[in-house]
Amino acid sequence: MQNLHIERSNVTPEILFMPAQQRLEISGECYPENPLPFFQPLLQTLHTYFEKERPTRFEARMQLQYINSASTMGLRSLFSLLNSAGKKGTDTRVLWTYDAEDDAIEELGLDLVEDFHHVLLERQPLSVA
Amino acid sequence: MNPPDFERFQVSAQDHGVLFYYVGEFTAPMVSAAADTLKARLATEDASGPAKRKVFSTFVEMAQNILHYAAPSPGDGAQASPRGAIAVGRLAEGSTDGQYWLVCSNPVTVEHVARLTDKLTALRAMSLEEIKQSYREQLRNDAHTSTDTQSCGAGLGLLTMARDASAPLEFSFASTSDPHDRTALFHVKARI
Repeated sequence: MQNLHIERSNVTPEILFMPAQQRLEISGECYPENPLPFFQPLLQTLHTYFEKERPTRFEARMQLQYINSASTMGLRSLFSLLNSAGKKGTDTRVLWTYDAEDDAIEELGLDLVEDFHHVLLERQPLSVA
Repeated sequence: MNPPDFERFQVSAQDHGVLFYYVGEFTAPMVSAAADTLKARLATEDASGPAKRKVFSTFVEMAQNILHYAAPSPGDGAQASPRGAIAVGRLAEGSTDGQYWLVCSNPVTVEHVARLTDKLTALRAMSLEEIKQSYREQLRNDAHTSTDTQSCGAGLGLLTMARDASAPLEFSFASTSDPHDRTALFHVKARI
């Protein structure tokens, strides 16, 4: 499967999907007024990847500075997908990186993983000096 | 507007601590551009990172609510873009961090007045922990109901604003110039 790289736009984050490294990276800000066209292709790609490859492990590194309420559902769908992979045997982790002062993003990570017991969330607060 | 009128307008805006003001059509590109402008404006503000983030977040939620839910203004065709207004400001000296406020207004159909009143009245009575709990439930529920992003957004948007605000959200409805009284002007105010 090929790498997927979506450049950051002023309202959407950068996406880097590396199937050979069993890794997904999402970084930036996410506030499109309609999140569906942004999340759908990524969810579809990941769904196909997990079905075909059944990797032993997978890591999603997420570093978001801001996300609008409409996009949280797309993100939740992503966590749900990771959870399904986890249920089928993939050791699934999410590295959740955020500004140590940003309680909203910190809590979002915890909220998103609350129902998904097959995803391990590792919090990485960053101190802005 | 002639120069002396503009001067008076600016003095009034300054007295209220206005940092940003927009009135007109709301479209996706407009909201994106306005968000960029506000971001640049906030960058020069002497305030904490969290405060600026909350101001920005509230702005985006307000603007996107107008974009998705504003009723067509009386006289506009059904294809017209939604119209509304948003102002962002900062109160003068007094508090440690300086208090920010955001106000928005847009027409809504009268059918929505009761539902919005109930939602916002309930929100006003919630503690922060109750708001966060409601947010979690809404996130879970929205995922299981329709895949239509439009109808799912409203609850989460208001909950997000309520969570970031330093006081209960204020709201009101006013009559518009609609000759058939099918719309009302909906105002929301948030303090950060």
